[in-house]
Amino acid sequence: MRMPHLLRLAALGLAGLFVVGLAFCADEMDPRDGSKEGARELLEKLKDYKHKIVYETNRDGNWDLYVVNADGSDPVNLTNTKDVDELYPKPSPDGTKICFVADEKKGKDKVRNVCVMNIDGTERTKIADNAREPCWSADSKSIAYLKGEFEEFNLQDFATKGLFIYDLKSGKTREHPNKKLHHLYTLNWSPDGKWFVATVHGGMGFQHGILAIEAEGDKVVDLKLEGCRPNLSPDGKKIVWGHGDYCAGVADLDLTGETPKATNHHDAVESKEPVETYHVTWSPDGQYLTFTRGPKAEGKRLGNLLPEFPGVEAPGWNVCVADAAQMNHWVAITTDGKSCKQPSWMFVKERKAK
Amino acid sequence: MIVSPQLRYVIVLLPALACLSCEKSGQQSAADAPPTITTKGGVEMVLIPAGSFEMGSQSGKEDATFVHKVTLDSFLMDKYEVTQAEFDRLHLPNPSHFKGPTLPAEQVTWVQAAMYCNARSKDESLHPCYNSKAECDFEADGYRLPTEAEWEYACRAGSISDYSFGGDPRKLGEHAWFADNAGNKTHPVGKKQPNAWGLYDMHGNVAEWCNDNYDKSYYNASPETNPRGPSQGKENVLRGGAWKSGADTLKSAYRLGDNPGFSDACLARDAIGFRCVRKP
Repeated sequence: MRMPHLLRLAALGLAGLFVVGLAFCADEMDPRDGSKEGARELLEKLKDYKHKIVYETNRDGNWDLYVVNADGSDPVNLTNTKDVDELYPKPSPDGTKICFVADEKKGKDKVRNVCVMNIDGTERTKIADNAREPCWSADSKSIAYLKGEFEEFNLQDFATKGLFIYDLKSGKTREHPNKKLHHLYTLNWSPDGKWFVATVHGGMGFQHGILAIEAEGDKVVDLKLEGCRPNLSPDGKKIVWGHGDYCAGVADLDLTGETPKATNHHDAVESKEPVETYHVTWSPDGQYLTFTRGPKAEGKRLGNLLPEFPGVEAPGWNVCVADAAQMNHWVAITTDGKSCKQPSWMFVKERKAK
Repeated sequence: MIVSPQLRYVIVLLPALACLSCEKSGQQSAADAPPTITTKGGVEMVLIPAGSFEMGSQSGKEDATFVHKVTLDSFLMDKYEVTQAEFDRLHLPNPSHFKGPTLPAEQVTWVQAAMYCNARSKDESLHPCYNSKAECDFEADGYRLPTEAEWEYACRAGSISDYSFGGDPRKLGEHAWFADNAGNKTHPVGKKQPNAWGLYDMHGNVAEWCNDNYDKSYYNASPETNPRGPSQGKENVLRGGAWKSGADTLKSAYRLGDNPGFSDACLARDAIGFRCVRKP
């Protein structure tokens, strides 16, 4: 039977509209899609990027640390412990070790400790009891961390008191000269070793903000950045942070003068309520950012607090990578939404041939 | 002497009735105030008598203009806003911006306030009121946030005027820390004049979380006896105004709704605190 020409055209048009509609729906639903046109192109680029990403994830009620290639391929569970929750991984700048926190024991005996291990998960060592939010010195020889505020376990991110520095070679720990450091979290150590940068919440006279803290002195400077969870670029000249619940902010950072300053603020990534954006960190060459994206917690949950806190379940949260030089040019590299959070880049000297 | 529960209520109600008779002048003698107890944890609470009152204000904001009768059971209410010393005593991280043991705790989300209530209950071997979903068991003997009706009833302390001390905002400075006199900060609790029932800082210092979800139309459908707020809602009720508030928001009937976890986790409010209630 021959279809009249006009009818054939109409049928073709309708079919075309249906295909376009399907593609649009698929695009909207695809968790890998960031800036739509650029996401797949970015994913292709990341396939050749040698540095990796390590993150915390909750599978079947247990937290472990996973490492993946920059495009999300080849995930490997580095910890594999059923009775311990490993969280907040921070690879050393030389790419040989990872420091992290481990929540051990249950109930009243639960405690968060700081540990270190090789990048393949071997030679795991506890370096501090009741401690959290560790970070590395630029030479990968020391780990700084914050002590828990109370003996009892507390999930609240700012429940810290005192900053301590552990020397890997000697195994000795010393306290920061400023004994008033209180309610800090997301600790960073500047590449020149002269400053720490961290969030403060209701501590040392500050309401909430991001502080530069002299590494060997008492000076504390408010960087006047609205938000939390900062991370310094490998050269120490830029800072990224959670600019509210929905944006990753970027600013130029000057730590060379008497008073550190952050200038030229803009947002690199933004999401819209109810999807939050958090945990942004720089890649070793400053080319990319990794961050997390996931739904805001619905309703009230006692004891579990907010999904952006380490160790708080965050269904639907995934790790993403963004091009640091462009606005909102990103792609999700995990797609299972199993509380994939706190990503951090792992320096890789040479990528192994496939 | 054994006193029947009914007689006990009458004894408790008598001073409250006396309060009603003299509210218009805003003057109240200490002898008229209901009794105060000190909890096992050392916190002073006022025994708020059972009774009825007219909730809302025709001259207020739209969400409070449906004036309606509310009848409440007796309850105990903290004499002061929860202080930072209390957070320290219970080993809870003190989120406050302005630090000091006698200052009210602030930057407290609704959930953190509920967690404090449960911690305080456990500390005194009482049954916590809040479950993991933050649902409140009103039958439990532990601490909880006041319902909005309990808060306004306690704040009014028998008064029917805009403020618990009368209707003249020029006298607000004697009773409250607010934008005109606070100097952009909180102040130690209990330094201004209390209301007729001996409760301090019900007006000003920090705005106080109530247990209820906020619904601007709730008064139209609210039950008369022990109303507990809408079953659902994205916001919770805040009452009393704060150190940074204008005089209007400190009024006894003034209602406000806010996100229980703050609308943005990074933008904590240093003007929000709370006080607790529990069964007598």
